[in-house]
Amino acid sequence: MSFFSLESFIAMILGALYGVLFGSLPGLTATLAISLFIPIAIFLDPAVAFSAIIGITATAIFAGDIGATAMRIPGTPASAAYTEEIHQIGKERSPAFALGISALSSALGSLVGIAILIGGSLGLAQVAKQFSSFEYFWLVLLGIVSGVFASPSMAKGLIAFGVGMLIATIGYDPALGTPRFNFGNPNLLGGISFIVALIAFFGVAEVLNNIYSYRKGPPPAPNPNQNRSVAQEFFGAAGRLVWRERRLLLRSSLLGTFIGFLPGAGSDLAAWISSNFTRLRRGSKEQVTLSGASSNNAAVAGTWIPALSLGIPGDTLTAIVLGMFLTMGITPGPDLFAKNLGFVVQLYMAFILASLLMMPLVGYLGAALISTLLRIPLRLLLGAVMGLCLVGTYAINRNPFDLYLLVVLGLLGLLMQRGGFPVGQLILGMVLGPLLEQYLMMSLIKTQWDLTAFFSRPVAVGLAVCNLLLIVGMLWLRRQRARPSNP
Amino acid sequence: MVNPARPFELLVCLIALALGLAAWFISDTFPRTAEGYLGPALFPKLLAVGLAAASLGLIYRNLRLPGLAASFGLLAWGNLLRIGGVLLALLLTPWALDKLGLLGSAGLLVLLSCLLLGARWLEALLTALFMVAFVYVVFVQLLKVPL
Amino acid sequence: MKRVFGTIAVVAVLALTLVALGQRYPVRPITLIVPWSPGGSTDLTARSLAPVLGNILGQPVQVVNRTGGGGAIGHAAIAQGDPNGYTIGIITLEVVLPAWVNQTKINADAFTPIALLVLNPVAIVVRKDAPWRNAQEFIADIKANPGKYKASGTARAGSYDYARLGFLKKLGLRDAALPWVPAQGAAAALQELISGGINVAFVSIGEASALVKAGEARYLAFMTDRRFPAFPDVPTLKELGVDWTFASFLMAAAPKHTLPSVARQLDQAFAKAVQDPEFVRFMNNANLVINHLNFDQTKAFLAERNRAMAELADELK
Repeated sequence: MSFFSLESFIAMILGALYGVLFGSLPGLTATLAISLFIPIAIFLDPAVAFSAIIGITATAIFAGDIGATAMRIPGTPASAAYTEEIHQIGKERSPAFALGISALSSALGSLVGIAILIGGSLGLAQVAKQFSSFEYFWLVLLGIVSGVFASPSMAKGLIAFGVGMLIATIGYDPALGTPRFNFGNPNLLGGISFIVALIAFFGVAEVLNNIYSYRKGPPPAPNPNQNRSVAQEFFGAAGRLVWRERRLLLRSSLLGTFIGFLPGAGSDLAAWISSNFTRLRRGSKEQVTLSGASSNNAAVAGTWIPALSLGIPGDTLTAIVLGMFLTMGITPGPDLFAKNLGFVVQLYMAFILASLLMMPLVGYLGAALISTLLRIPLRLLLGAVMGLCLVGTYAINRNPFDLYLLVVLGLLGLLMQRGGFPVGQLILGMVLGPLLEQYLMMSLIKTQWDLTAFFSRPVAVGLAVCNLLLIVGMLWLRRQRARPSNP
Repeated sequence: MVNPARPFELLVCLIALALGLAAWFISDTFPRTAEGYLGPALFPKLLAVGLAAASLGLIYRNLRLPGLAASFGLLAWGNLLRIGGVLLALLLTPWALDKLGLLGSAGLLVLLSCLLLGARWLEALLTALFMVAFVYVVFVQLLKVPL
Repeated sequence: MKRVFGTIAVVAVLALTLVALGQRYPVRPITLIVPWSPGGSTDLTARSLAPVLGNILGQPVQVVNRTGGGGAIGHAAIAQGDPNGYTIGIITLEVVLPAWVNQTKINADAFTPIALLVLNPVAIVVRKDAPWRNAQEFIADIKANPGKYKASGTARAGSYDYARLGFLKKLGLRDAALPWVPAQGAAAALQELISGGINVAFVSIGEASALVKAGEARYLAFMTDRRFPAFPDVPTLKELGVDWTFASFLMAAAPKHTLPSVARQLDQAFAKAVQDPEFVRFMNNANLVINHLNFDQTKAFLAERNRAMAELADELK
C-alpha cells in the first residue's frame, strides 16, 4: 500500500476538511469524527482510509482553536488552555492573526513532536516505563501549582481550581466506586460531561456576559484592523511573530512532546502546563497562545511514542488507530522499525505532510470564514452562538438533563468572569482533579497509606522537588514584585 | 475602592464557601475503605478546606475595602433581567424539545436571545431561520450527527 | 350476552391486529441505542452492524448514543423504550454487576435478551520479567504468600474486579489474598503494571494484546472455556483446574415485554447479520471477537452470569 497516490492525497484533504468542521463546532469531537467515519472506512482501501484518518486527526485537534477564536468556545480541553488569549487577540487585532499564530505554531510544534517520535521514541519509551501512580501524582500536582500561580490573584485561582475539582468529583469515586454528590439522580452518576462544561463556561457565559454589558445606542465602532488582508495577517504578521518567538516555540514543543508521551496525560496537560509557564513568566497574549498551541500539537505526536513502542495507547483516538495497525500485521514494539520500516517511514511522511499542509490550509480557510462572520452584528452572532450551544450540548449525549447543567454552569461562568476569576483554570481543575485524586488514592491503597512511598522512587522525588521549587520560587517572586508598590 | 467586579466577587466567594461546606458535610456519609481510612471522602474534604480558606480570605478583604455600596450601585439590573430571560428560555428547552424537536427549539432560542440582545424582529427571525437551516445542513445532512 | 359477544369481538380484532403487526414488523426505521460513547467497542460494533441489519430487515437501523451516568442513561433508555421492536439496543456486562445494579436500579430482568454478539474474555497479564514462568507458579505463589502481590484493571467493584474475585474464590482464597488497586480503566492499569506499581493486571485479551506483542508483558492464562484462536499457546483457567470464565460482553436486547414473535424475528436478523463478510472483516480489524448465541442460548447465558455474579457479591458481604 502507498500513502502517496492521488486517491490518498484527496482522502487526506477531505479528511482534513471533515475534521475541521468537527473540531470547530461546539459539542463535536475528534473521537466522534472518527467513529462516524468508521462505517465508511471499512469499505475503503486501507491506504486511503488511513490517509483520511490522518487528515482528520491532524485537523480536528487543531480546529479546537477556531471555535475559541470565533466564539470563545474551545473545541478541545487543550485549547481551553489559551482560549482567553486567542479570543482577545482575535478581537483586538484580527482573527486571521490569532489563527495564524495558532496554525503556524501548531504545524511546527507537530513537526518537532514527529521528529522526536522518529528519533527518540525507543529511548523515551524507557522513561515512560518509569511512570507509576506516584510520578503521575507529582506531575499532575505540578500542573495545578503552576495554574494557581499563573492566575493574577492566587486566592481567586485557588477558588477557580477548587470549584472545578469539586464539580469533577460528582459521579463514581475512583477508590471504592461509590457515587458521590449525585443526589440520587442517575444523570449525574457518571459525572458532568467535560464538553458540556466547556460549552457552558465559555459559550453560554460569553453570550450572557455580552448581554450584561449591552447598552442601547449606536453599536461600537468596527475594529479598524478588520479590513486588513487575511493572507497578510495569517502568513505575514503571524509568521514574523512565530519566527521571532522560535526559541519559545521549540521549548514549548519539547515540553509538549515530553508530557504527551506519558500515556493518559496527553495533550490537555501539555497545553496547560506550557501556557501556564508562559503566563508565570508574564508572557504576552501572543506568547501564551503560541506556547499552548505548539505544545498541544507536539503532544499529539508524543502520544504515538508509547503507542508504537510499548503498545499503550494514550487516548481513545490512538487506541482506535492502533487497533487498525495490529490487524494489518503491524505490531508495536522495538521490532517495529526492523520489520515494518517501509510502512513506518510512509506513516511518518504522511503525518508530516498533514501537519505542514493541512493545518495552515484549514487554518487559513477558518480565518477567512471568521473574518466574514465577524461582520455580522454582535447581537445576531451571539444569538446564533446560543443556538449552537444548545445543539452542541444535545449532540453529545442526547440528554435533555445536560441543558439544565448548561444553565447552572453558564450562570456560574458569568459570575466568575464578572468577578475576575480565571474561568480557564476552573476547566483545568476539572481535567486535573480526577487525575490527581485517582493517582492519590491508587498510591495510598497500593501502599496501605504509607506516605513515605511518595518519595520512594527516583523520578517521583525529582518531580516532588520540582513542585517544591516552583512553590518557593513563585512565593519569593510575588513578594519581590509586591514590594516596590508597597513600601 | 469602587469596582463593578466586587459584588460578583462576593457572590462567587459565597457560592464557593457554600459548595465547600456542603461537600464537607455530605461526604461524612461516604463509606470508608476496608482498612477504616477515609476513602471517597478524603479528596472532597481537602477541597472543602481549600475553598473555605480562600473564599473567607477574599470575603474579608472585599468587605474591608471602602466603597462597597457604590460598587453595588454599578450593577446593571436591567441587563440582569435580560440574562434571566435567556436562562429561563434555556430552562424551558427540555420541555420544548418534546413538542418542537431539536431544530424548532434551537430556532426559538436563537430568536429569543437575539431579541434580548436588542436585535430587531425581522433580523432576529432571519438569524433563527438561518441557524435552523445551518444546523440541518451541516449537522444532520453533511456530518450525519445523530440528533 | 350481547356484551360478551362484543368483548370477544374486540379481543379478536385486537389479537388479529397484533398478529398482523407482528407479521408486518418492521414497517418503520428501528433505533439501536448504544449506552456508551462514540469510538468505544460497543459503538463500533453497533455502527458496523447497523447497515447490515438494516438490509436484512428492510428498514433502516439508526444508531443513537445515549451516554452518561456510567452507562445508566442508555441502559435505562433501552429498558424503558416501547416494547414494540422499534427501540432496541446493545447492553453490556454492567447489567449483571451487583454494584452497578444497586446504584442504577437497572438489572438484567429489565430486558428481553435477543442475541449475544461479542465476548471480550479477560486475561491474567504480568510484566515480561515477572518471577512466574506460567500460571501454575503464579497460583502457587499467591497461595503461599497471600496479600503479597497487588492486582488492578478497573475501579473497585468494576467488571475486572469481579473477574479477580471469581478467580480467587475458585482457588479457595479470599479477597485480601490478591488485593485490588483501583484504576480508571485498562490503559491506566497496564501503565501501572509496566512501571512496577502492581504485579498483575486483569484486563481483556484485546486491551493487552499490543503490549504483549511488543514484548513488554505476558499472558499467563485466559478466563475462557477453550483456547483463544489468536493466542493458541496461552492456557485457559479451565485446563489448569480452575473452573472460572469471565468476559465482558455486548448483547442485543429489547425492552422487557417485547412480543416474542418480534424478538424471534430480530434474533434471526442478528444471526444473519453477524455472518456478513464486511461485518466480520471489520470486527477482525477492530480486534473484537464475534461470539454469537441465539435467542434461547442468550437467555440462558445471561441468567447464568447473573447468578454467578450475585453469588460473588454475597461472599463479599
